[in-house]
Amino acid sequence: MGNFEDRLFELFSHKSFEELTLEEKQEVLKVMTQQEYQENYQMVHEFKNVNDGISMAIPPLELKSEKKVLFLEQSIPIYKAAAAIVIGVLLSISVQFFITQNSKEIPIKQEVTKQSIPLSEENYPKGLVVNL
Amino acid sequence: MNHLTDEELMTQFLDRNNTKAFEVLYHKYFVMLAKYLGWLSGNMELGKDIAQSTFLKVLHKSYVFNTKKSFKVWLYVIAKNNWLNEQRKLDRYTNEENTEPSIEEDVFDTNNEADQLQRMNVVLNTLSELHRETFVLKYLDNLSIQEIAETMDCSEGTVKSRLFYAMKNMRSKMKEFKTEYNGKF
Repeated sequence: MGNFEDRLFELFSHKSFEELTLEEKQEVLKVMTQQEYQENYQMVHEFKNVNDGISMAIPPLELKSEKKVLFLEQSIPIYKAAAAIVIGVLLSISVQFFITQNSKEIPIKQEVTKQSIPLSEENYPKGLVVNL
Repeated sequence: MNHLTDEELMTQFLDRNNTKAFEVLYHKYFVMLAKYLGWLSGNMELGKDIAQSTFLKVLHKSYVFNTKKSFKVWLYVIAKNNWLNEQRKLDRYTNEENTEPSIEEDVFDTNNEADQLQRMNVVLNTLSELHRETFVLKYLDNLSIQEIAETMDCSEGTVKSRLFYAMKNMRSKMKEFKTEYNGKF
């Protein structure tokens, strides 16, 4: 029956009950009456006729405007993607190298002697002396 | 180029930027897709607009298409999502405007094609969205049960069940119409 169900839906659009073979008629009558089959057949044909009678002009296809694709939706070939990755890696390596080459290290003195001199009357800066 | 499969055409477009290949797909599916969206929305002009924006989306997202999968299913999934987004916008708009869409069944003229289309819409609108979509995909867009299951993200059994109930409900609605219009629909 499973297979005939598929065929039954096809038969509605191709054959009236009278046009069915004897085997087909027997199979149809197992699931519906002759009148029901014929009504389905007529209904499908009436719809098909109306559908076919609808005239519709095909508008021209404007491929130019349709080709506008958003930047993020664009697809690119794999080789371009691979090349972009390689270039990116090379650039980052060279930038890193440049930075390390030009970095200036701050010299650190190992021995730092105290250079501060305690203030006394003899070595007090004269500029700071105010004569009242 | 017409002998190539949809997926081969997409491969040509993606790998070789062959715009002719995409144009073939566009011409093959535009009307079908517009009508599908038209039946879903109940407005063929709106269906056409959504189909156009769907193809723009397909172009923008073409690079994510898996050429091992069905282009048709992918296209219909995008179209459906596009329609759902549009529907949300329309719902917001109609809520703000406080207007309700109405279909005047009383003014139908049985011989007029536009009215016949409107009556078909009325019948389809008696169905739930899922049932309506299943019927349209199966009988108006000629998708297979498997393709519908993939598009609607459900099992094939669910598709068959939805089709069965959709047709049952539509039959009774059409009978009402036929009684009302003396056998004409």
